[in-house]
Amino acid sequence: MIKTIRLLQLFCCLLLLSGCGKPLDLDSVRIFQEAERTFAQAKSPEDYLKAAAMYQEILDHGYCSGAVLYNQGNALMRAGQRGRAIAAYRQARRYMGPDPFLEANLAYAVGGQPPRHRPLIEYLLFWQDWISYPAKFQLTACGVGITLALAVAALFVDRWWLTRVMLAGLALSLVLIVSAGYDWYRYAWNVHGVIVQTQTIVRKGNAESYEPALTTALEEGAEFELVERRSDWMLIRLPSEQEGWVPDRAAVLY
Amino acid sequence: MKHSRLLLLVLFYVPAALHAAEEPKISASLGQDEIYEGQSVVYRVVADNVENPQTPELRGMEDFDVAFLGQQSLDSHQVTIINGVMSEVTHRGREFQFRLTPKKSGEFTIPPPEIKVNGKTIMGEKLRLLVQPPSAQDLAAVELTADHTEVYPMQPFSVTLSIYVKELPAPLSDRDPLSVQKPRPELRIPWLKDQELPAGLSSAEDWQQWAKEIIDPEGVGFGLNDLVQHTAFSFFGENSAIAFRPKPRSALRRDAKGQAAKYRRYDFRRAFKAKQAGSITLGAVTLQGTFANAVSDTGQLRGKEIYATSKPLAILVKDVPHIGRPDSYIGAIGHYRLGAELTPRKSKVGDPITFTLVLSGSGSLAAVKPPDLSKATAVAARFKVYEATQKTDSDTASFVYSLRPLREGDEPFPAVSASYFDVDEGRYATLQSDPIPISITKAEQLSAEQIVAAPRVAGQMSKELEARREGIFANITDASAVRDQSVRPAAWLAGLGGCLGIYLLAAVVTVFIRRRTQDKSALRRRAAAPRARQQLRAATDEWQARRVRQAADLVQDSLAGLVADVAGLHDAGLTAKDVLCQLQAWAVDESLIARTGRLLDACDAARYGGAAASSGLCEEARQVVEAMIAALRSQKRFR
Repeated sequence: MIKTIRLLQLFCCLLLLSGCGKPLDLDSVRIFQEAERTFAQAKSPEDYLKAAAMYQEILDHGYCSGAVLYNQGNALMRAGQRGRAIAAYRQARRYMGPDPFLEANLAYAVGGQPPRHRPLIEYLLFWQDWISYPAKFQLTACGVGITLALAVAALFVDRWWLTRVMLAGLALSLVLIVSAGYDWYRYAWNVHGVIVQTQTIVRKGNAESYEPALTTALEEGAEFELVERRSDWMLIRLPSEQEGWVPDRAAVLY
Repeated sequence: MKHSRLLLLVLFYVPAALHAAEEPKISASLGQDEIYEGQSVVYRVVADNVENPQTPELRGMEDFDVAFLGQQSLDSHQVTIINGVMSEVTHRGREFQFRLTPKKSGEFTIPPPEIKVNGKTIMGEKLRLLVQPPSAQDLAAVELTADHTEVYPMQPFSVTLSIYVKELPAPLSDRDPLSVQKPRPELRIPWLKDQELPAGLSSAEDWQQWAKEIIDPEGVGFGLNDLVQHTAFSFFGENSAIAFRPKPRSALRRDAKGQAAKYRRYDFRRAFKAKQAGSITLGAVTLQGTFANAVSDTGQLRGKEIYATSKPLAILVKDVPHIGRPDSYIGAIGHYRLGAELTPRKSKVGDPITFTLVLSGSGSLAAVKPPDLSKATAVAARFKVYEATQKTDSDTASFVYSLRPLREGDEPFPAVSASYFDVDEGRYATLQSDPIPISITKAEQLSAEQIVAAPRVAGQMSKELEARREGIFANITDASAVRDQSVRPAAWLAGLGGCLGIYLLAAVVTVFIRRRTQDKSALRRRAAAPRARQQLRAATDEWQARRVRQAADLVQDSLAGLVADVAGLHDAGLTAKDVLCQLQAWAVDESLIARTGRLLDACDAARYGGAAASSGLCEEARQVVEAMIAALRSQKRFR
């Protein structure tokens, strides 16, 4: 019995740790501070781009941080690269949750673009954008851990209220698993992108020789979902559900 | 030896042949050797055995208007297998097509085309082209006119192609001259199709729609650019030519003798718009056909083959004037209206709001740019204006501005001016958006508690909102607040799976334990051996205390109890015979059964015979019980 409970504790810890983060190592902290210094003293778009590259270096070290992405978005925005800034802000939004500063900067970068189409599941899981991606996994881990502890207790202690609490916990855990799983699907399986060139023509095929698929060219900052990649071209789906091909160089993916 | 010679021959001959075939070569050809002035001819240049050749250079073409029509690959790859021997022939080639339009009549020599291959210039052959001048005649004439020869960009203008055909001689003068033409005269308009229009010029309506309206259902009229109609017999290669005839009108025109003569006039009118400033030339239209000029004595019409051409038509597209251009001019030309939208209508100082200006109408938006709101004093005094984003469709331009109010107040958002050039009036027109009501209140300062995510600087989080610079909130500067937030769903799934596994294991163990603890007969079986031993120990105590009868009872109870517990029977009514029968049913060793029977008999004897009859009873009972326990254990009877 004691062994079982200890094993259960171990796995719950593993679940919780899977959503928690570790602090940056010394090298990355040094780069972060250097990037901040470069950003604060920047006088030209090139300086801001330099700062953005330093933030990218931290990300390339394997750290995934909302704060770093947010700062990178700011640097890119100041450098005049609106499309790349939107991509950085969108990624930061996954990890930071509903941060008012981030929301304001993202809205500023996005400008007057129409809001993206929300699928039905996002109306059902209405809290989806209120909680960050890692926090959802942490919450789910807590829910699953508590439910399992209750379920194990219910095996040995025959109390009606314990069974009901366990069943309620099970239902809550399932909802949390669906919520975390949906985030996993939309962030890890769906590839998103932003146009980074002005007047990008969306074509009907993967070559310049194909006719334009839309009556107007896409402007920098237009967001899309990646459907398929073929050589140097990407088949993209716009928020309006229209599809077409753009060259790789015209967009960044995240 | 013969085979060796053949092999050598092949080895020497085939590479030599291939080498000869791989020599780059340029050839040129003309669609026709002889044309009339105003007509065009297709000039083809073929580059053979050249990998990705450049477009040929055509030098010495001053007497022609040259237009590149396109190119096509002539690459081919042939694999032949004869008697199991595979041979491959790869051919590289490309054909380039040009349209040559002579500027005058005469005999011309078209210089050889040149292509550079690996730094070496390869030349084709020169060609001869004879360009005949238009016939000197007065039977038909072609004229190209426009209602405006000077226009502004996107100002509509119409071009009229007038064909004059002399009336038929008497007595057929009342008939339409085109009704007696066979074959029908052919008009060639070099700018008929929309894709053939000069750069910067667009047609008001689709060329096919325009042409449909002048199709003559009776098949009387002019042929136009060899246009044909696909019929049910098109599959067999028979397409019927279409006749185009605008409504004819009578006209007077001087003939070759300088006298006024009666003509039929056919007007092809088409509307255009120029997209940008510059000079546009519509190429000469040609007419070729046989027209009646006399009636024979037998009443038969006599005709004459003629070729007539118009002069090209030049249209000057003027740029909008600099004089009188207002500061609010945004580059639009045509007719427009202006709309404006502001969201939200209630805001706080510093909060972003979106102002959208929509310019819609007809005309050119090619050079349109957003009005500079930062120069609009009424706006700039109350709002911080950021650079606008622009979205332009064919007839609509939307300008989206991000603004941040600088001070509170309920004054409406000021009217915004935008000017465009009105092409009909030939002057600039200024539009104004309507003022939009907006209420701006004092900025609410966020407290630290209201900010739900990472604080900007740990330990010194300001009670007020962070300073804003150029519309972007400041960075997160505290490195200790920066953590790796990577999500590892695989590890998470492993944890989840592990938890579920442990739960299942615990559930299985629980069920197993519960079954074991709740089965009374099993519990009795497991307790049978200790209970029998305990009773034997009690019997030994009684024996030592000289209570022989009690000791014999306990020995019998021990044996009967052991069998009853294992068999799940009531031990109270179990006789010696029952015990022996049960042992036999379990197939216990016969000697042990006999020994048990003797022991049970000894117990009876001791009960009634006293101590003499029971000497060694307890020791014998201990051995029999241990032997019986061992026998039952070997049969797994205690589980």
